[in-house]
Amino acid sequence: MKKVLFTLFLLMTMLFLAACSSSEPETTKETTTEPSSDDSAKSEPSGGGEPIKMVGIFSSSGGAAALGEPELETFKMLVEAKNAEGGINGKQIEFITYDDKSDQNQAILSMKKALTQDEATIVIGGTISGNALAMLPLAEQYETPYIALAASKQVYVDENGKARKWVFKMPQDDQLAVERILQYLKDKNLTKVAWLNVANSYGTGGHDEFKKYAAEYGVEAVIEDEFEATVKDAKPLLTRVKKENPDAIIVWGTVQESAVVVKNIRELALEMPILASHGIATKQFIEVAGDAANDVILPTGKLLIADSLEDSNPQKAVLLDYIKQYTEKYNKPASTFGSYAADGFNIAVKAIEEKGTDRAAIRDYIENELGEYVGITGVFNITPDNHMGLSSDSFEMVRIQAGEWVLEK
Amino acid sequence: MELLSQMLQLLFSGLTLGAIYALIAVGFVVIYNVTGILNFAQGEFAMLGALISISFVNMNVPLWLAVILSIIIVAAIGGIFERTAIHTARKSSVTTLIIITIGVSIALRGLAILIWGTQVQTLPSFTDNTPINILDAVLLPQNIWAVGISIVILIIMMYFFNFTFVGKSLTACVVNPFAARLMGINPEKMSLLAVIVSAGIGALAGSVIAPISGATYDMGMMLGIKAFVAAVIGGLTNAPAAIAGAFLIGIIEAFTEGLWSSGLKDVVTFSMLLLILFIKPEGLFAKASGKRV
Repeated sequence: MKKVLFTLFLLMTMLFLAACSSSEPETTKETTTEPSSDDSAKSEPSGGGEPIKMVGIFSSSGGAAALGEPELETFKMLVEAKNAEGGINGKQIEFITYDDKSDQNQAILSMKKALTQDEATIVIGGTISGNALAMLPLAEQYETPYIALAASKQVYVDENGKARKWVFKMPQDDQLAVERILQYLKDKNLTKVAWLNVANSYGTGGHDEFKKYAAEYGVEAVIEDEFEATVKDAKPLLTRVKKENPDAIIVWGTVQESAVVVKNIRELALEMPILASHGIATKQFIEVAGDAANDVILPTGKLLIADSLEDSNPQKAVLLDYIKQYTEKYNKPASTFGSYAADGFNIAVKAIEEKGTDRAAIRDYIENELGEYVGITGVFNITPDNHMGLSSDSFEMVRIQAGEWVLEK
Repeated sequence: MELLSQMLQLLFSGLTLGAIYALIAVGFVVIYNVTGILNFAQGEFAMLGALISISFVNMNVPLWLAVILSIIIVAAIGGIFERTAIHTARKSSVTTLIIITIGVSIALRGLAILIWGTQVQTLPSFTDNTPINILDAVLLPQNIWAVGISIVILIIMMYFFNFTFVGKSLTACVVNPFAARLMGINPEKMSLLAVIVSAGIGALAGSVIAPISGATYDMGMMLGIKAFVAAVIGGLTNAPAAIAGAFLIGIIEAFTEGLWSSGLKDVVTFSMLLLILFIKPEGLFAKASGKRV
């Protein structure tokens, strides 16, 4: 009897774990395939040419759901709006979305479906770098333009440093945020700084960029060290920072660990300015760090501070337009991640308007003819060598004040 | 003077870390003492304790009540875990039981993702958290809470194991289960009690840490490992020694980080574990005796 019970328990545990790992192939059957139902009749290609098929693959559930959900919502919203206005050159967009569940296997399966069964004209998606990296070899193989929404530089640059032929990327590289911080330090004449990063790939990636560019901006690190992602008390580390008396402290990490370090800096009553990475640009950081978050300075996309931009800024109108459209439809604040999907969609639409549904022509158009494109994330300047095309100007420095983001002049 | 304040600061940090490890290490020792197994789900009890406290506080339950409710709930979860996972497999070898606890810890972590997601959550400090300045070093009231609570637990545990009937019975079960049974002690009941108690202490530990470092579903693993090292260094069978070991680890970590490099603190901790296992496997504070180790 007991043996049986035990076996049962083990079985349950195994089932439970299996359910958690979310990699069972059969779940693909549940994948949401949503050809726009009300338009499905209209969207049949009405004579001549291939239908316009846009496939969105987002991590709208699982670990990266907070990122993928606004992307999915934005994509749906924009396709519906475009179709309501009559589609592209009078043709309705057929759109299909897949949820990759924040899982790389699911991402590959969805990509395969998109390219072989759906015969996508263009694919937009890949919420997190791991998924985008898993998906892009298929895009290259099937020669279909793919607009990625993940941050890693590897997404659009291959191991030889060359641009990947069929892949374009919407978000900025982390490197641009480091450069923006260095620019700020230079402007404020804060040249002796302490560099602290979280001990994971995000942190060391930032550190590498910092080492590469610091001298160029005349910034020198008097102390460079790491803290763990699970840091509970960084005061021992900070006592060393205190001894070096830097002009500013850079804390490069994501929400939880940065909050702990920033709190500890305040507790030790260190007075120098604190600069943080763009990885903490969420309300959550303000909630977790509380009062300690005040006066932390960080680079972020322009979405958070669109209202305070100068009217002469060419992006302002685009930004406010997107924010208005999104908040009216979904009744919640627009997110930076959603805006990546919007940029991707708009660029795709522009290319299809000009070149029709020929995949190679779309790719060539984005690479060579798009020119300077004013998007939500920044002003894109895509070239054959640079399939992202953003510069560090796409980041603005903001200061946290009383729980709000205030544009730092 | 500056050096003195730096040393003092490092000592404060070390004591806080030590207190956190101590509360979890006690749980290890209590379970090991009674059942002879290492419970690798111990850190997960702390995680559940922290997250459940936070959920109650978010429902506007007063903080002290939230912590007590969370301790009770996690103790109950501990009880269920003992009955379903340990009790049913009690005839299996110790290794099997240890692997079961690892399985349970992964299951609990998965459960926590489903309930609370992966976002960081935070708990307000127990009392007003204005830093206290001592010789230019700062001490936070929450840190005093952490150290204070673990000292109180230490005293309770010493009293419990040495001066109460139940405590003595618990000890008897591990010294000689057969003789204990002859004396009318039921080792199975004792095993249940031990897991419930250590789950409760774990939950308390989690609630103490949450205001300091925030709480996430995956916080339990590293806490559990560090506490395990502390328990081994102190000697696995002795609760006060494990607490001393925990403070030792905390202080060594703080000083390594403060005087050397933060990357090296885990290196130092785990080297110490290896050294102790080679030289004095019965633990730093164990008296030489015929007791099994």
